[in-house]
Parts: sequence; C-alpha cells; structure tokens
Amino acid sequence: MKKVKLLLLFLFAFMLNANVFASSNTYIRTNDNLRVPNKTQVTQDKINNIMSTPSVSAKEKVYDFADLLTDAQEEEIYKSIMDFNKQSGYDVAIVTTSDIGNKEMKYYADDFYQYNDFGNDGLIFVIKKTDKTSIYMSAKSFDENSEIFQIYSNSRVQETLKYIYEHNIRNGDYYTACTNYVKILSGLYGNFGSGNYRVSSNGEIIRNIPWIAIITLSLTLTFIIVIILVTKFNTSKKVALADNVGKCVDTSSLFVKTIRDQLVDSTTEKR
Amino acid sequence: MNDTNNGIVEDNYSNIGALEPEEDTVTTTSSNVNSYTCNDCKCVFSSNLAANKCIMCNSTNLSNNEVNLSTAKFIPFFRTMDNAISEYKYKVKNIMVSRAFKGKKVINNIKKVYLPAYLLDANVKGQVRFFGADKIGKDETRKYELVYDSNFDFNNVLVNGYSKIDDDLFNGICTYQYDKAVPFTEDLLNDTYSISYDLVPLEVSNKVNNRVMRHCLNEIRSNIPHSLKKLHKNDMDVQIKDNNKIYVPVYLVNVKHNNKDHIFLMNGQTGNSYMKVELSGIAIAIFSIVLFAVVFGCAFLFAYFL
Repeated sequence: MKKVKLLLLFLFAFMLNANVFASSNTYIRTNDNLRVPNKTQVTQDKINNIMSTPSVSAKEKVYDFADLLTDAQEEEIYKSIMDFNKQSGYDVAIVTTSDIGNKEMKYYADDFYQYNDFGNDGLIFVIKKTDKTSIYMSAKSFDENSEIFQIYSNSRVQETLKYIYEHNIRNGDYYTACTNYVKILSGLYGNFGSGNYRVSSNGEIIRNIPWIAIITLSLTLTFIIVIILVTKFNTSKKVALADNVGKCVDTSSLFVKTIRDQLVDSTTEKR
Repeated sequence: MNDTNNGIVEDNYSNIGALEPEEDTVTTTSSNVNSYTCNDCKCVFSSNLAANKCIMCNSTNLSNNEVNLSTAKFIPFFRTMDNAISEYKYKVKNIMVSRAFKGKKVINNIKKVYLPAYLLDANVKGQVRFFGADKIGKDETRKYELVYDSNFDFNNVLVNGYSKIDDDLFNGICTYQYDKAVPFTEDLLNDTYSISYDLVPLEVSNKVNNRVMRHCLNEIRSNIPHSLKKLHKNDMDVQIKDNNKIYVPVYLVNVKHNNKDHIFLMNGQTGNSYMKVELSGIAIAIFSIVLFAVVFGCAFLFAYFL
C-alpha cells in the first residue's frame, strides 16, 4: 500500500511538472495573497490593478482566455515559444481575451506581465476578441536600458502588429497570428547586431535601408562640395593677379599733403 | 570724370605723359637667328630654332623675315623648363579642369620666350580734389571738399610691349630684378624665342599713365578720413622720365579652348605664374556623379550595417 501511495505521489508530482496546454486557468488573488512576484513593489494605488489582473502560472506561456485556439495549436505555439526562449532567454506570453475590463490594452498587457511571475526581460502579445478584434504587443523589462527595447523597437513592433493584423487577425486565423508573432520575434532577435532590419509587409525580416534619406543626403553633400570647389577655384583665379606697380614707388620722394578738408554742406532729412 | 564705388577710378586722363617717338632700331644680323611672322595672328618672333608653328596661335602659316633684333637688354632665365612644367601641371591639377588643358601635347608646347617690354620711370605730381561725406546719426549728412597736393616718383615700371599678352596678366606676373639684365647675345636665344614689339609709343604711354594714375588716386583715396569719397577734379600730371626696352623671360603656352586663348605665363626669373583655366561642364558632371556615388555608397554601407 505504501508503494502504491508513493507511486501515486510520483505520478502527481510528474503531472505538476508536465506542460499544461489549453490553459485558461487563473488563480484567485486576495488581499492577503496578491500572488504578485517578489520583485513587484506593492503600493496601495496598485492594489486595484493587481486585483483586476488575472493571476496565472508564468510557465504556461499561452493564455487562451477567449478560447480562440485548439489544444494542439496551443501546444505548437508553446513549443515555438520555448524554442525562442532557449534562443534568446526572453520570456514570452500570448494572451487571448474577450474582456479586459475598463483597462486599455496597453495597461492590461503591462499589468498581466508585471503582476505574474514572468522573466525580467520578455514580450507579451494580447489578442482582444470582441466585435472588433484588436491586438497589442510590447517588450517588457525591469531595466529601462535593456537590449530588448532596441531589438523590439516601437517601429518594429508597429510593423509586426500591422502584418499580423492584416494577414491573420483580419481573417480570423489566430493560430497563424501567434506562430507568425513568435517567428518574427525570433527573426528580429537573430538579426540583431548585424545591421538595421525591419519587418516587411510580407512579414519577412529585411534590411531597413532609408533610401530617400540616403539619396537626399548624397545629393545635398555632392551639391555643397561641388559648389565649394567651383567657388574656391573661381576665387583663387581672381586673387592671383594684382598689379604690383605700387612696389615701384620711390617712398623717399612720396608725399600726399592735405591742402583743404573743409565742411561745405550739411543736410538733414526730415521724416 | 567718373568714380566707381569700389575704389577703382576710371578716368579719361587729360594730363598724360607721352613717350618720345621711337628711335630707329639698331639691328643685329646673324646667320644663326631666324625670324618669322605668323600670317594669322601677326606675331613676329625670332629664335635660333627652326620654327614650323607660331608660338602664340600654333598656326603653320609662317613666313620668314630678315633677322631684326634690337639692342635692348635681356634678363636671362633663372628657372628651368622642368620648373615651368611642374608649375603648369599644378595649375591644371584640379580634377574639374577641362581636358583641353591637360596632356603631353600641351606640355610639349610650353615655350621659353623673351617678351618685349618697356622699363620706364615716371613722375605724378599735382593737385587732386575729392568730395567726402559722412553720415551723422540717422538723418544728417555732412559733405566736405578735400584738396590734396601730391608727388609720386615711380622707378622701373615695367610695361608690356606685346599686344597679344593681356596687361593684367603681364603686370601681375612680371616683376624682375633689372640689375640682372644683360646685353643681347645669340646664346640668349638658344632653345628660346623672342617676340617682337608690336605697340606704338602712344599705346605704351597710355598704359603707363593709366597704371600710375590709378595707383596714385587709390593711395590718396585711402588717406581720406571720410566714409564716402568721390573724385571731383584731377589736376595731377604724369611725366615719363626714362624709357628703356627690355626683353623679359617667361615660359608661355597658349591653349585654345572654346574659341578663347588661355595663356599660361610663368616668370622665368621668379617663377611666379598664372593661368586662367576653364572648368569643364562635362568634368564637373562626371566629378559630381562620382562624388554622388561615393557619398551614396558610404551612406548606404552605414545604413546597411548600423
């Protein structure tokens, strides 16, 4: 009997460690147990936000509260998130919801990441499924100088959201939206430090070449340099020749004597 | 009398000095020295070299003359042809200078030439009247009458004796140590050309008068203690006291470009030189395109890898 108990205990422990998919499990926050990470400083003005934020297990990564994904899809997304996590060390949370209370998307996402036990550096992607579906993503870090803000800059975030919204969300393809999201995160991370990249309208990570700025700069610099060179050339031509007859003057006999310097007229203008 | 605002006075001088009529030229005859007349530009030049082209216009339409050299003094060359070639290359080194100025053909055409000139002494003396004016405050203007008595003695004023060389070019380049001048010998014309005088005495007088008078008026003007200066009456006289012919050494090449003569002139004694070269529109365009490409490339690489 003791062996059976031990076996059951072992199985229970194994199940706790196993990945859980199709999770929309939340835990209840109470005033006694707010279930926030230790690193979070709790102040009175934050209590309401904390209480209105779902408490989840940070290990699950995919939080399909709006039930937009199948279990198999969640599993696939989870795997791709974990692969990215191994590659980058960044935590990722994907949340689908149909109710964010009276919060804006930005604050909902901020609170969700901050008041659950996610890593120091990470990214959150929120799909709000209502009559009009909207999406939001942002990079999170406790260090405001973190590299993650350079990798996932505002412009890249906007390009990512635009692509995902137009190609997947608009068609109701939430699974592909999530897989594309992780794919783009991975692409941007992989290319960081080797140049200036952006997310194209096809969702590809391509070099970001500011053609208009480059051409404008080149034309302006060329124009200025050529004008300077031509002007300098013409100026040097004029300066080169000066009559040196002044050197022939015999200074010993030279005189210029003022015979008269007399005021002859004074006029005043009236205004 | 006219007066310009930039300090250069353009006057029709009434009190000009005049050169005495030219004395008959004493000629030297030598079987080693040839003289040529260009039938196109009328340049007359001599050398102990056999010439088949005019040294000024490169025309081959030449006719032989009798050797006819004056006994004027010559200032020998102190600078070599290599100096002249280096100086010429420096003048046309700008990447945008037209290709017509570059190349071996042009450099091979650089000639050692004795230019004809007059060495004169002159005196400018007399009274000159100016009007001066000052602005006092915003509304008041005070006008003054100024009278100056002056005397200027000019020694060794060198005047261009050949009409095809621009006077400004000649005056800017040609200053020499005249104590180095030597009498004519045939050796002076070794590998060297000598151009003959083609100005009449009145033209030379006018050149001298204009130069010295302009200088005197500018000197007086610079002493006027008022902000506005206007020449009123010029009673100064120019007297030319001495008049010697002298041949001065220059290195010379004439480049014809866009139907204009562009003369490179280098002082054969001091090395001073001048050439008015033209920038080529095509060269500017090519330079601009290359520069654009370089700047574009740098900017692209910067944006690509940043």
